[in-house]
Amino acid sequence: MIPMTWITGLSMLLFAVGVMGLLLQRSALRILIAVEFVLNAASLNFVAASRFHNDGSGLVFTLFNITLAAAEAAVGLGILIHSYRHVRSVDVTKSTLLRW
Amino acid sequence: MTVDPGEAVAFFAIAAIILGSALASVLARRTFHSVMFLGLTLVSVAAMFILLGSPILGVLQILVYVGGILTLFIFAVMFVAGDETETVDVPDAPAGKATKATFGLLLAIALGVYLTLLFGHGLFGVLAAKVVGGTPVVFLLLALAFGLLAWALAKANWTQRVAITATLGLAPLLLAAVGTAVPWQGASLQQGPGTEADISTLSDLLFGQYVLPLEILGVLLTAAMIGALVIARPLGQASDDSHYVKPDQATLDAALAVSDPANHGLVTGTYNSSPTGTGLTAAPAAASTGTAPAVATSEGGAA
Repeated sequence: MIPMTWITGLSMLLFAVGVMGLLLQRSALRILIAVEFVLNAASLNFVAASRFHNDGSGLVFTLFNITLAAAEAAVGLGILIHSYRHVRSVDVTKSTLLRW
Repeated sequence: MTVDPGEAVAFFAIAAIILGSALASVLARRTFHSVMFLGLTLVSVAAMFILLGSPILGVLQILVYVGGILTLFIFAVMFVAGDETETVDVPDAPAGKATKATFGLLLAIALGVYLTLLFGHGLFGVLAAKVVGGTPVVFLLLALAFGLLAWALAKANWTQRVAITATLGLAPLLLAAVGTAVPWQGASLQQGPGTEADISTLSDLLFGQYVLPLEILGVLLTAAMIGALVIARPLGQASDDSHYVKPDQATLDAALAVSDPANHGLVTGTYNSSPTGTGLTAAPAAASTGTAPAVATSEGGAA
């Protein structure tokens, strides 16, 4: 059996890569991709916890996580497409209408 | 706690691919490469799910994430093709040979691990036990099939075809060799939410203890679908609603008469169909004055 620390460390590193991508990207599409990494890190943690506590609830929450990620990706890409029609760019630094 | 060496090898291989492809996705210069490495990450995470004893979630991850969300991302990339955040001088330049070879090798390894773990137990394992030579022969055949598929689909010169076939064909073979050479009891996969009892565990919980969140998720998915459709509607003339004819009062009263509130307890009133109206009002219209207080008394009597 793989120790829990291994899988938690992997989940932390994947989460860190996702947050790094979230903060350092200019393209809104790539930001949404980085969000998927964050969600997958959480899913890994859930499945590992389910395995190590002999409880199936982690699997259920992983399924919920996958479902929510699908909904969020759909709505996020819809927003991206809609804003692309107005701003003509996916660059998030170009959307400055609400700045002071 | 002793770690099974075969499991440790598989864990570190998949973990390396997960982190490597996530980094490659974040650091890629072109958006489409980023999406492709996202797909590789998702496949690797699916392999990790199977290693952690939940093959149903590994399959669901491939089905929903790779088959649904990744496709959505590819469509979005095609929609906003050539965005100026890409740092390549020639936007249509294809990926270099190093990127192609790395991606192909990593994808083949991830798929190889995924298939090895998924089919190590269960029906395919039973079939592999009947084939002479067992699992390695089955994976040799799978590797050959992958290789031939890559050869047929590759639009490249013959050296690149050889490279792609070699990587896609050899990697599952390597994994099968590692899996059978290293003493892998596989017993630890039977513990916890074990491989055979995994689906029934998930379904018992999903439709037993967690049935309410499941139903709420169904509503949420419907709302998300409608919301995404509304947000991404075409602007201007394509979404013009001027052809919509508002029904007159008689039609609305007839519709409301079907759902009689005295029988079904539905809220009623005069449906205000004027542009300034706000829908249902308790308006003192001639037709429904008698029914509105009757509804109130009947509901008060039933409560």
